[in-house]
Amino acid sequence: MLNSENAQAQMRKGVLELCVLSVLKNGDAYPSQIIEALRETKLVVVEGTLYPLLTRLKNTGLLAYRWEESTSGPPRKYYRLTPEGIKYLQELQTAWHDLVLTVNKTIQ
Amino acid sequence: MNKTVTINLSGFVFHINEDAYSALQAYLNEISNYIAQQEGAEEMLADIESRIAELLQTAMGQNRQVVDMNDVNRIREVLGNPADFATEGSAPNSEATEQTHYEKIKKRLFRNPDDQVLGGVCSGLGAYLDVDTTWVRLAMVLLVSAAGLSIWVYLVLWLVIPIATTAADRYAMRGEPGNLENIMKNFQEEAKEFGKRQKQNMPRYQEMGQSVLNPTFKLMGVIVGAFLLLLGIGLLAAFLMSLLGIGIASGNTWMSNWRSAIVQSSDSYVMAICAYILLVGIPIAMLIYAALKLMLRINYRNRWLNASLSLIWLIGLGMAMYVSGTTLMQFKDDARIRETSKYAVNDTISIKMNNRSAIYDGPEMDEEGGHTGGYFFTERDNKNYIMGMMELIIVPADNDSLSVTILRTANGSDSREANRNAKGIEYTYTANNKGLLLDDVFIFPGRQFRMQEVEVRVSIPIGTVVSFDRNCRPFIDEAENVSHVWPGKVAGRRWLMTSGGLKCIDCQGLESEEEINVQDKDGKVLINKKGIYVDDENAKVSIDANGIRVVEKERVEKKANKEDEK
Repeated sequence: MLNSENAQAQMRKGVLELCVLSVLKNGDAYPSQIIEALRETKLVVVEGTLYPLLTRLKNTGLLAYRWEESTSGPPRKYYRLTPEGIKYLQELQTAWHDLVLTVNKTIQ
Repeated sequence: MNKTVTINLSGFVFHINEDAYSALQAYLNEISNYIAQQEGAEEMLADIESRIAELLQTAMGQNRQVVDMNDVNRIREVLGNPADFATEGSAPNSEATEQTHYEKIKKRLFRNPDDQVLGGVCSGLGAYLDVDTTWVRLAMVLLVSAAGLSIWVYLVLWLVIPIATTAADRYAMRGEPGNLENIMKNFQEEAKEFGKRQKQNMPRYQEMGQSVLNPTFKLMGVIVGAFLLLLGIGLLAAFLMSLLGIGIASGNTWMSNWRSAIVQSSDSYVMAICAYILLVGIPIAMLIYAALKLMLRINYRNRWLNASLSLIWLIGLGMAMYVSGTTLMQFKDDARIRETSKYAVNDTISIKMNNRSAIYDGPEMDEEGGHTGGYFFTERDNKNYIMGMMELIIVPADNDSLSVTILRTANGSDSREANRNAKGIEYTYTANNKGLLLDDVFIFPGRQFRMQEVEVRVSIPIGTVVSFDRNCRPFIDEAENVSHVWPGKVAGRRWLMTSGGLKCIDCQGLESEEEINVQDKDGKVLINKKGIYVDDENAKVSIDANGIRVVEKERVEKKANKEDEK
């Protein structure tokens, strides 16, 4: 029998980008803070998943970062949304709500 | 006690246990494989390293200084498996990642400057062929001893193959992806630092083998190692042959005969064999091991191995001492049983041997009269016997009767046992007024070998004529005789007993060394057994075992003439 876990993981991965951007909308954060925020959603449990995503979002101009000194190690990268990022997030949110509505209708 | 490595992560220094170091390195390598094709891979790696540094910094409190395996596992928990770093577009699974990388990076043949005995050819070949360098070196060395071929092959390869000078060369040599150079370089530098630290802290033997990059020294090591290896293999072969010999000796052979004759139980025999294997085998094995280490420049010191081998060797020594001690104890005391009989005899007697040795299928006596002596194993009615040759002594008697003294001697664990062993000796002879018939050998059935000996002393009245049978020959080479006949000729002749010993009656022509004593009437010239001596008024001349000596009295002349005259 096909295991549904893989499908679930794919779903989570799909909405990860939306969630990360949403977390950053509430304020600047560095990767482990983002993880903290996302932990309850069970979307992501390890930081490893975040690095490729953050780097890609930064390279496409949706995110920017600043260095901040840390007491417990090397300086940290604090990520924030750029204006393009905010716009992109809004588009994603709209799309997500539409998707949820139609999907709910379909599966009921 | 663990070795630690010092690493630098994002400018922070950490001491890390060796095992944790390799785990962390492997982890980072794997991650870099997954993200190598993603955009901004280098930046991402820097971020990851930075995050690791942060995590470690937090983990290292006041009480801890060294990063261990638990910390690395903790990092894994937080950061996730390397596969988590994959994105759909870049690398869905690890196999694909590795394949794409290794297809891209073509391996190139370099000489390896980081691991060389002479030119680094073997380690380069090993990296290229993906074979452990040790095997390549071993093959090289064996080929040298086979035909000397590999010397030329090596020299040609040394000339032809370029040396890996840059880091990129080294990655190409191992076939590792070059776009990971950054992180690799980091680790390489850290490894170098690790090496330096080792040099400072390690005792000298480590430095000798590992860090001294003097090619002459290394070459010497290889040559000495190869020599020791050949020696070790030779000794091993001899050792195995000897073991095979002992194994075969379980049948009815000289070895097994002596074994059952001397060793009191089969247990102690087994123990003796074990002791032999341990005492001889372990040093040979260690020699070969050391030779291989020297030759292949392995700097691995296993203290446990050395200590336990030494301990086992000592156990072997203890066993050997126990076996030889208990065996020697069986010979501790000795006993002598003397038994004398007197006989009235005719004026003429004969002495003859009763050849029991022939009955017992023993060795044939040497016809030329050589006393073969010693002990022999014989088999009769499916029973094994040890047969000893008696010793015959013939002396003049101090009265008118012939006396025969049989002296039986033997050893034993105590005097009673020794006495029993001596009594257990079977030796007989018959005597009548015409002479003696003596057994040539003795046996001790049912007894083990405990140095049993029989001495037969025959005292013959002076004036008696003795004729020895020819078969006496092996036994009377020690018989004293005044006739200076070679002892072997005593047999088969007739002899007269005198106060000085036997004198030959019918030995005319056999006297090889009749007493010589010639003197001129003035007493100036003397010729005897020792030499020729001339005492002239001019000089003293002597020719003997000391050479030719001339002591002049007044003038220096004519010494040769004088010698010629005589």
